[in-house]
Amino acid sequence: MTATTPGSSALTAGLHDRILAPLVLGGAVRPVHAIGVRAALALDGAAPDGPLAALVRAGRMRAARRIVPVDTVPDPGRAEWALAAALNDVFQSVSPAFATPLRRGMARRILGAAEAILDRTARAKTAAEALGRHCWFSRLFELRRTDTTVSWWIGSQTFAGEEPPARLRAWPEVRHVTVTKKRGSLFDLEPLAVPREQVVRAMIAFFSRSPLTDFATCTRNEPPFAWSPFTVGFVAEPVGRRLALRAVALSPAGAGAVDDALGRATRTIEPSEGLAMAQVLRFLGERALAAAIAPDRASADGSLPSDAIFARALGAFAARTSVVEGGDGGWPASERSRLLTELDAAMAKDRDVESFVQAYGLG
Amino acid sequence: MLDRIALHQTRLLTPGLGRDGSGVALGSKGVILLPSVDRLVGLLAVYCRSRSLEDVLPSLALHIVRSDVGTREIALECAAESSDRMDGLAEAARLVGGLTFTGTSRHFVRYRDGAAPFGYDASELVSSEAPFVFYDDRSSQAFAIERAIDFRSLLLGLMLRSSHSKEDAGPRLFVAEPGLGPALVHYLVRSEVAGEAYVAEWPPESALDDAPTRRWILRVPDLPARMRPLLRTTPGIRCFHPAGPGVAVEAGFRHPIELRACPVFDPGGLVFLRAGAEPPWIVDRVPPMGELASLARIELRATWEAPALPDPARGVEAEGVHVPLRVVASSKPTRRVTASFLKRSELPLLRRLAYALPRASIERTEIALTAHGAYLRSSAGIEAIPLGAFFVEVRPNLHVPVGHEVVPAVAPDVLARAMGVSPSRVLFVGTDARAVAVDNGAFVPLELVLLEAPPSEEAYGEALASSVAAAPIDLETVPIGLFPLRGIDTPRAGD
Repeated sequence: MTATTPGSSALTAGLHDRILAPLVLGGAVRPVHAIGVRAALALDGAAPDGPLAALVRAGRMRAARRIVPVDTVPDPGRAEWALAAALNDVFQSVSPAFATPLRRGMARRILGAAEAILDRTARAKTAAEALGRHCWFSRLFELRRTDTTVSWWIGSQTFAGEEPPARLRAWPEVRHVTVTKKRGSLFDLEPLAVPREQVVRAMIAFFSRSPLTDFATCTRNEPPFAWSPFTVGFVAEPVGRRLALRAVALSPAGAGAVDDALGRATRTIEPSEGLAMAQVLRFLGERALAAAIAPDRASADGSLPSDAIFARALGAFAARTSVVEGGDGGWPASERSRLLTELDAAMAKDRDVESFVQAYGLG
Repeated sequence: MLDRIALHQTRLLTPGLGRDGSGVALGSKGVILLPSVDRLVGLLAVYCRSRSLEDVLPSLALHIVRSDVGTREIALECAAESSDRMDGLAEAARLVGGLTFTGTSRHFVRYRDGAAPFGYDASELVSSEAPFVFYDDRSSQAFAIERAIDFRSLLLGLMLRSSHSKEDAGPRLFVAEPGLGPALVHYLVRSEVAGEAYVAEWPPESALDDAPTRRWILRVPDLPARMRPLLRTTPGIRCFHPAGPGVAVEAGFRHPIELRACPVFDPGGLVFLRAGAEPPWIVDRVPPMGELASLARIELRATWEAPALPDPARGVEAEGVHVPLRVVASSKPTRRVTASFLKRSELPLLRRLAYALPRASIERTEIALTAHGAYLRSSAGIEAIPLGAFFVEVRPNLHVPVGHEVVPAVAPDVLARAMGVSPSRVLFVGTDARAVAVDNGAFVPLELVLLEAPPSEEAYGEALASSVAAAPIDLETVPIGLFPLRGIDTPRAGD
């Protein structure tokens, strides 16, 4: 750990109180001034002490214990501060104040700096690190900006992410004042000074640094979940695979939506990436096996999208292979027979899975 | 010494030993021999945990027995009744290291065990006059009874064990010292807690005391959880949990033996088992208890003026000599200045003086608040509170102003009888000869009404709630400043 300067201490305190704490506990996220690459990568030190820090610690612990029964979560290190700084710069870049012809370039530079920070931030090397990062950013996709439109009898005005002044709401009866609030995610913001695809790209880069958050939010719309070297690498390890399985199982969208996202992402894996497909198959296989052991926990196949059926069939194929190859595997004969029947039924929903797998040189 | 009994054996040598319906050798009595009292307590604790002693109690006898060689043992004797009962006793005895025997009058053989499912018979009898001759597989030994142990006394003599179980709802009994009783009743009534109360009396604790010891006993069926810590920790109030019919155990403790399985206490009485080495409080007969609500009226009644009632003993002739009572100044030395009267205008002075009063004075002083003012009394003298008009106690519950006497100069007892003084009514005769009667129950310890405790505030609920609630996350727009790109460096490839 390097020595921290007073300036960086103030910056980490600001990032903690204005970015990280609201992301854990909820409340208003108020970005600090754009930070930049060099300053972001130099940030280090422990989180500040105080009542807010204690609440944040409790909130992180709660997020962690949803997935794994741990008693401590790691304090933020250089990588976590850099991720927080990158998020701060992303939030700054989407500020409506930049949506003027002379300032758009500034927003792009700030967002470019955020992408550069993310590129230079170390990936999570252990499952504990991934869990620690997920505790900070597990609620990132709940972030919304409230845009308030105040209209009155001769005009209207929109206030993006800020409260309209009281004078505009005065005499509501006489002036026919109407206040409309609209909450939008980071990818629905208007006006936006930077290209929307650049924001999506930055968030993809962010997820590559917090793979557990990537799995936990796999049912999101933007950016859609995709298998990357980081996520595949994460599930290649048994511990990471177990954490990822628990994270996706806790998705509020339900098992069907999770399978849909996983199936869609799996279809896009290139045939040349057989090794990655092998890890993905193992992940899907364990998920299918868990569903077969407790069939009531999985949602019914009745109205599932084709991608979800594909993911389940693929997982059933992988699970069946492992059950058959593993001999009795410690299963009682009756239970093994029931499992194979369940897996066969899931496989039968999509007959193309065998040819799909063979295309990768597997099976 | 012992022979195992075979399946179809009919002839048994031990007198009084027979075979019950299942073929087990059984006498009319069972005896358990235990090496010490703590094993006896252990046996009872183990047995009572799953069974009641109710059917054993009528025939139960505990003896300290002594053998020929001088060793002392404890013998628990009871009617054998059936092999089922004896099996239960034998299992419990085996756990605590006791030996189980059965027999009828004097000769007792080992009760059956795993080695002899039908029991044992003595191979040869010992000639002895001792009340107990025990035949074991290796030896026979005679025991004489040294003395008996009363089962109830044993239960009362055992010290309670601390219990760490969480306090739960349920009926509670409170024993309050006389000074705290009325205040406790008022507190419970004000908090809308239902219950019953009565005042129990015990004989004086020593020959030096001439008055019986009185304590308030309150039975509260369901005490709110918020009041439990206060009543458990207030000195002078002791909390008990009913542990069986007619017996209660101090809160936070438990008796080593399950008392519900030992119906030796009179359900009409009440025994309070106290923690530590303190002997139990025993109330032989619990009178009908009064509702708390009917006992809580401690406000002063309206000023009572004693009517001049004719004395029926004297008849009509006495009316001709009645004279009104007068209170006149007196030069006699004053004694027993034990009460005072403070007008309402003087109460602020008392409040200010309270900060300067020594603890002993506050402790001993009682106060009754009335519509006119406050009456204070202290058996050790009221001069420590130099406020108001002082009164001399000429007779218990009868007070006249200091430096005054009543005329006609009748004896205090006559005066008291004429004015209708009773133990429940304290009379204050003013300088204008008007008498004010104050209910004795209206006097409460000054220290109980003196302190106005600030209300406590709950301070932790909000923080906990805010940490648990998942508030929405809102992105606020903040000013970008004059130089939004300050500090933004353009990274070079390879940085």
